[in-house]
Amino acid sequence: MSASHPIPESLEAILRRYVPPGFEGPLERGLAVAPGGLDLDSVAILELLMACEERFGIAFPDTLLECPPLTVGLLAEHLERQGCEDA
Amino acid sequence: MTYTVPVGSSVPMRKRAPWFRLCVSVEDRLMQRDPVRGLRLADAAGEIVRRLGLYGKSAQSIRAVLPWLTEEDSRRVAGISVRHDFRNRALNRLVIAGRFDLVAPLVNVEKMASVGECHAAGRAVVLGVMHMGPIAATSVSLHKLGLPAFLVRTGAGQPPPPGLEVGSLDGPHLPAMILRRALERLKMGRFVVMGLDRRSGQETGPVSCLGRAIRLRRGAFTLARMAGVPLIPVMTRWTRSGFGIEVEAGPALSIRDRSGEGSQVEDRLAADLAQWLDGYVRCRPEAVSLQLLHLLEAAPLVAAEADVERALAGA
Repeated sequence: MSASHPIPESLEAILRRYVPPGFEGPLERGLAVAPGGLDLDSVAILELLMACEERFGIAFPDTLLECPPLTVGLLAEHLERQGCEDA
Repeated sequence: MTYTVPVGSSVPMRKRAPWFRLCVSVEDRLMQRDPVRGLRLADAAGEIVRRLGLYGKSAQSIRAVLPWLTEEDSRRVAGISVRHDFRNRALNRLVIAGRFDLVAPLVNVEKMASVGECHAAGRAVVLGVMHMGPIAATSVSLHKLGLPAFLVRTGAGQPPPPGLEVGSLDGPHLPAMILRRALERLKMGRFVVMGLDRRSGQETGPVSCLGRAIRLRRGAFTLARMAGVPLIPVMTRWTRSGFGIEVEAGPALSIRDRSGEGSQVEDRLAADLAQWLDGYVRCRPEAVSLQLLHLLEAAPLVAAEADVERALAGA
């Protein structure tokens, strides 16, 4: 998946709930979820992951969080690999 | 060579003055041979740096945050807070050295009934710990009670207390992963221990405690909300006489109202906890730690906070 390929709309809708106020840029795949990108803190990242798991009925593996930086693209790719509905 | 004030924990040990490092080394050796004598030395060292004006709070600044205290009580709390801070550091180093066997006899767990009841009922709980005293004693108390728990803390590389699993927030993994593991443990019916007044991390909204609008760390409240489990505040303090540590668990605080955003639910739980903490400190001002005094000092008065909110709402 190329870095310029748009992320699934359903994932974008969830991400938009957690992005800090004032962030209006595009949610590109290369964007880090943690500080330096979307600036989400650990609590917000946890909530984001749980919201995705609930929405798509999947579980993110621990390995996704073991090798920072976690990016929007990594989240999207995992959902796409899992063949999630709308993803 | 210029040294900064050598006492504060923000200064790495290797950058502290040689005389201070030597004192710590002697104290640590003494602690490992005879903890009570080591703690007496810690008391003496704390008193010296306080009298030299290197560390601690004045009686005046203590009265500014605890205004109901008499002048005499303020002076007493000023002395106790520094001596106990030095004891805590000595005790923490003993725990870091893995000498749980030496710490355990000092810890009294008779006031941990609410925790034991939850364990007996098979209920998962978040244990929220304030830096009210020797925080390391909390994990030792859980070990003494035979309660399996997941301890969320900083200090990667330090040995885990026996029987406890540790998630290090400053380890190689994202803190979000540690929180996720903690949430999984709660869903498995286990206990999770987490600090409420760490320096970093997301904060709750302002909650009223001792006339101040303080903010606590949000993590423990988020876990309680997401797992649907109660939160029990756990305080530790040095006993008035001798060198015992009393670990006291407060009531199991449950989420009473789940309406609104998640952060609003967590703020209401934080307000309940702050109310309990308020009563605890009013009854035991000698248990106030320097960390809590810093937290209170930095927080606006409740009335001032309300004024700001009204001004913002009107703007």
